[in-house]
Amino acid sequence: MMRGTMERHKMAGLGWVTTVATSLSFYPALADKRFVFIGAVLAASLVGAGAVLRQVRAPWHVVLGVQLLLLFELLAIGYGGRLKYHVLPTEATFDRVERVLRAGAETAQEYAAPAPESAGLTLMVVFFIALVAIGVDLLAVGLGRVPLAGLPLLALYTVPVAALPKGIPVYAFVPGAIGYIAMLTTAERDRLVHWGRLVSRSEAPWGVGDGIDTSGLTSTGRKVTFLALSAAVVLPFVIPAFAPSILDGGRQPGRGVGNGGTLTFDDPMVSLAQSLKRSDPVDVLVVQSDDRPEYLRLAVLYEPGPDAWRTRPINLAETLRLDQDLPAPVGLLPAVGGEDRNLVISPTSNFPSDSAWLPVPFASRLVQAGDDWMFVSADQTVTGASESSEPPTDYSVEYRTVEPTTEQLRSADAAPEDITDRYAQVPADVPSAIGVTARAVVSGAANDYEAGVLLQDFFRDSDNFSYDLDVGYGYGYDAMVKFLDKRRGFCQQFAATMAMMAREVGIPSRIVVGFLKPERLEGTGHSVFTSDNVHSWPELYFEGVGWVRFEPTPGVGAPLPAYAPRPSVDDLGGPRPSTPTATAPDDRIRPSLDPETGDASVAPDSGSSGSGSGGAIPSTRWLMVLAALLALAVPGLLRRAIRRHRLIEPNEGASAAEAAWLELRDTMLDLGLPWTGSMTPRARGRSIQRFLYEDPDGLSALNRLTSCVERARYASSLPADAHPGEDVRTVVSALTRVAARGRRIRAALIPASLLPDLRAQTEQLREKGAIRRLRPARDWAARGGTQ
Amino acid sequence: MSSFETLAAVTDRVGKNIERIIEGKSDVVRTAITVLLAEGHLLIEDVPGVGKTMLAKSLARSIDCSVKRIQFTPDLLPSDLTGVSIYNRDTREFEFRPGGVFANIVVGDEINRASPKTQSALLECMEERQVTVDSTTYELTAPFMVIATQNPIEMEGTYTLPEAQRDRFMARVSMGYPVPRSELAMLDSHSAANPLDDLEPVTDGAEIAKLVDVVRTVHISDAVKQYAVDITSATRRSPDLRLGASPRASLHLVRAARAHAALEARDYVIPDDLQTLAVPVLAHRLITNLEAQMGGRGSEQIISALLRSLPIPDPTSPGRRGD
Repeated sequence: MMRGTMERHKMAGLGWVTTVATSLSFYPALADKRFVFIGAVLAASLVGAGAVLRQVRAPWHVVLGVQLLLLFELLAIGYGGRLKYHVLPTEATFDRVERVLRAGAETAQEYAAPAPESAGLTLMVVFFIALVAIGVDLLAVGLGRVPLAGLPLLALYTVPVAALPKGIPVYAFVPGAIGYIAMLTTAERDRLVHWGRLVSRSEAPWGVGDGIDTSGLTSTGRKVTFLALSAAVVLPFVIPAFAPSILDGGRQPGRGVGNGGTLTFDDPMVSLAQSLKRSDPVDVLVVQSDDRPEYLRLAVLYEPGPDAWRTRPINLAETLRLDQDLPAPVGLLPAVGGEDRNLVISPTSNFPSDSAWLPVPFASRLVQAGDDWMFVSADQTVTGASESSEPPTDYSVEYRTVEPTTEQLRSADAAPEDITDRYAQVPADVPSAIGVTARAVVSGAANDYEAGVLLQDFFRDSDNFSYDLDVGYGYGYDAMVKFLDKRRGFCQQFAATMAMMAREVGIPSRIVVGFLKPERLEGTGHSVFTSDNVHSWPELYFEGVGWVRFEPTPGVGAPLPAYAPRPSVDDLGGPRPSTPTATAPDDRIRPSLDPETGDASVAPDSGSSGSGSGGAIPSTRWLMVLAALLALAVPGLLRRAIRRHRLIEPNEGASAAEAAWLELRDTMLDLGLPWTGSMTPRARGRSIQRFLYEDPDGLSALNRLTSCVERARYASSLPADAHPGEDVRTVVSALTRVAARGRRIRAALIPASLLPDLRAQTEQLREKGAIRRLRPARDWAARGGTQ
Repeated sequence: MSSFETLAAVTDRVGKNIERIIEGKSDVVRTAITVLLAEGHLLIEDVPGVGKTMLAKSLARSIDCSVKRIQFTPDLLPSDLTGVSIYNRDTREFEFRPGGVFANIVVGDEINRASPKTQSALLECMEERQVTVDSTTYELTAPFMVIATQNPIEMEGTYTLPEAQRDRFMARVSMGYPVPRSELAMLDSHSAANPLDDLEPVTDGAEIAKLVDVVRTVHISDAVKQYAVDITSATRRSPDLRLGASPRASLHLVRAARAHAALEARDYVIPDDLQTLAVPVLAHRLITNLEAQMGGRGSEQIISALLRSLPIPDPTSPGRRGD
C-alpha cells in the first residue's frame, strides 16, 4: 500500500502517462490521430479529479463514482450538443451520442484499418481510453494494486492488436510497456521505503526509519526493464521460428485458419494466406459436375491500398436476388465462345459458416442457394444478404465457360470510362518502380492483350520468379516493390503485382480470391476443393470479352489459360524491339528505388548475385544464424564491456577499490561461486581464499585487494601504492583458471551478474524491514534504569 | 618504530607474560588487554577454580603499577572500598585513609559475594574515576582498571550484580575449562610453587597510559559508527530481550573496537572488530525474556543471530547485492 500523498500523486501521474502511452497502440488503427490528444486530456481530467478527491480522503468508490460521472459529463459536453443549464444531459444528448457512436461502429465494421476519420470512432476509442485511465487509477492508486493495473492496459493494447491484421508495430508497444514497468518499480520502491532503513546510511539519524536507499532496487528495475524490453523487441526478429502460425496455430485474432481451426473469409486475402500455410489441408468444398470444374470465385478486390487491396462495400442496389436468371458478365459479348455447364457445390463443415461469400464460377447464369444470398453482378460473386446468412448444405450453379480467342482479345477496344474509372486507377502513392517495371516488361506489346500476356509471362518464367509461401511481406505497395526485387512470393503477391502493373500500362484490372481448378476424383463425378486450392489471380478487362483471368503464379500447377499461352515472336503481332530487355522482358528486370529521390529505375540484373530465389534463401538463413549467434554473444560482450568500463576508467582511490570489488563480486557470480549474505571485505576475502590456495599470486593479489577495499571503506586514507584494478585482474584470472570448464563457459555466455538477483535483494531488504518491525524491547527509561 | 608497532610489541609482551600463567586462553587474554587499552573495566565470570583470579592477578602483575586486591565478602563495607576519614588526634583533623580502589589496577575478587550496597560503591569510581567521601572528591590515578571476578549468579551465596553496575564493565569474559593439554601443563607448573611469584612486570603504568593515548587516535569511520549503533539498536528491538544494550554500551563497543584495531597495528576500525567484540561487550548487559530462556537462547546466541542478520556497512553503494 502506498502511504504518502506524494507517492499517490506520483503513481497517479505515472498511471496517466502509461495509459496515454498504451493508447498509442491505436495509432496505426485510426486515420484520425486526434484521439491521442483528446484521450490524454480526458484521462488527465479524470486522474486529476481522482487526485483531488483523494487529497480530501474520499474513499475509492466515491472517487470511482465521481470519475465515471465526470467522464459521461465531459463526453456529453464534447459530443452531445446542447445541455440543459449547460450541465445536464437531456434525451437529445443521449440520442446524439448514440448516433455518433453508431456511425463510429459502422465505420469500424465497414473499413479495414486504418479506419477513416469518424467522430464516432474517435469517441469510441477516447471513451475506451478514458475508462482504462479510470481503471488504472483505481487499481494503482485507489486500491494500491499496481500489478493489476496491467489488466486494463493490456485490454487497451489488445483491441488494436486484434483489429489490425498485421498487428501493431514495435513503437506502439514499447512506451506502454516502459510505463507499466516504471509503475511497478515505483510502487515496489515506495513499498520498500516504508519497510525499513539501510544500516549504512550514515547521514540518516539513527532510530529514525525514513530514507531507505532503494538505488539498488531501482538499478535492478532498470536492468529488468532493459532486458525484458530488449527480449520482447529483439527476440521476434532473431528467432525466425516464432511466427504467429506456430504460436497460435496460424490463427490470427478473429480470423484465420489454424491447424484444426476453422476457415473464415472475413478478409479474403488474409484467409487465403492462412489456408495455404496450413500444415494439414482440409476439404472445403465437394463439387459434383460432369466435367472438371472451373476456378471458383469468392470475392473480388479492386481497390489498391498501401497495405492491402480492398473489396467493394456491398451496395444493395447493385445486387440481385438469386431466384432469377443472372445477367451476363460486364463486357462479355455473345460472340465469345463457351459452353453451358452445371455444378452442385456442397460446402463441407470446414467451410466457414460465417463466410460473406459463396464460391461460384465466373459467368454464373443461375445460382440456387436460397434467399439468404445475393448476386453481385459487377463482380460476378455471390454474397450474403445479411450477416446471418449461412451457407446452404449444397447449391447448384449453371454457368457458361468463357473461351475467348486470342484474336478477340487482341482486337479488344478501349475499355469504357466506367470501367477505367473504377478498375484502372493507380493511386498517387504507388511507388514508381512498379510502373517503370511494368512499362519495361510490356515494351514490346502491340496491344493490351499482348501486354497482359507479357506481364503473365514475366511472372511465370520459373527462372525469374519462384513460388514461396514464407515471404515476410504482404501485397501492399511496398511489398510489391520488395516482391519485384526478391522475386519470391505466392499467389497473393503475383496477383496483386500483376494487377497493379496492368493498371500502370492502362489495362483495367482486379484481383479475384477463390479456388484453383481442383483435382477430379475420377469415376465419381466429384471434385474436392481443399484449403490448399485457395488461390488468387488477376482479371484483366478487355472490351468485348469482359473480365479475363490470367494466371501469373508459377509453381502451383495452374496451367496457363488457353487464350493466354506463353508468348512467342509469332504470337506477338507487333514489332519486337531488338534490345535484350525488350525481347526478353522476363529477363532480370528489377526495380530499384533511389532512397533520396524516390525515383525508380530498372536495371538488368547481371545475374551474378544468384538467380531469383535460389541465392536469397541461404543468405537470409545465414543472416539469421549470424543474428542468433550475435544475440548469444551479447550478454558476454556486455559483461566484458562492463569490466572494461569499471577497470579502465580512470577511477581514483576509493572508487577504484569499490569498482574492483564489484568486479570481483560479478566474477564470482558469473562463475557460480558463492557470494551470499552480508560479509565484511576481510570475511569475504577469507571465504574466497580457499579457491586460490594453489595460486600464490592470486592469493596475495586477493589479500591486497581486500585490504585496499577495507581501507577505502573504513580508513581515513588509502595506501599510495594500491592498484586494485591490477589486483582484481589477477584474482579474476586466477579464479577463472580454477573454475570448472562448464562454469567458465557459462560465465562467458550467460554471465549471471547481468541478471538481477531479485530474490536476494528482496530478502535483504525484508530482513532490514523485519528488524524494524520487531517489537521494541523496553528501554532504560521504561525500566527506570539509570545511566 | 611507529606508535602502533610499539603498542603491538608491548601488548604482545604482556599477553605472552600472562599466558605463562593462563595457558590456552589467548582470546580471553587478548580481550582483557583490549579492555585495558580501551580504559574499560573487565568482568571475569565463571565457575570457581578455572583461573579467574589468576588472570586478574597476572594481568595486574605484568604491569609495573599499583595493584590492590579486594576480596568481596558479604560483610565488606562500602568504606572498605572507597576509604574513610579518620580523626587524627595529633593533627586534630579528619584524615582520609584511601580504600581499596586507590590503585591503578583493582582486582575485585568474587564481586558478587558482597552486598549490592557495597557493589554500588564501585559505581562512581568505575565510571568517573574518582571517589567522593564526606563531600570531598579524590581523583584516581590513570591508568585505572577494575578487574572483577564473579561466580555465575546461580551459585550459592551470591548477589546479582545490579544492571547499572554491570553496564559499567566494558566487557565480560568467561574463562571456560582448559583443554586437557593445558590442564596437564598447568598441573606441572602450578604444583611446585605459586607461578605468580615468578611473574615479572613487562611494562609500566606510564607506558600503558601512552598506549591508551595511541588508541584514541584510531580512526573510526561514520559507517562503522553507524554499524555499532545498529548493533545496539537491534538488541533493543529483539523480541528475545527484555533489556537491550544502553547507549553506554555503544560507547564501550566503539572504544573497545578502537583498542582491538590498535592491537592489530591497524589505525582504523573495521566492522570485523565490532563483530569480534559484540558478545564480550554486550552480552552481560542484556536481559533475556522468559520465552528466550525457555527456548534456551542466551544473550550470546541472540547477539550472534543479530550480527548475522545485520548488513555490513558499505559506504559507497548501500543496498547493493552481497555487501
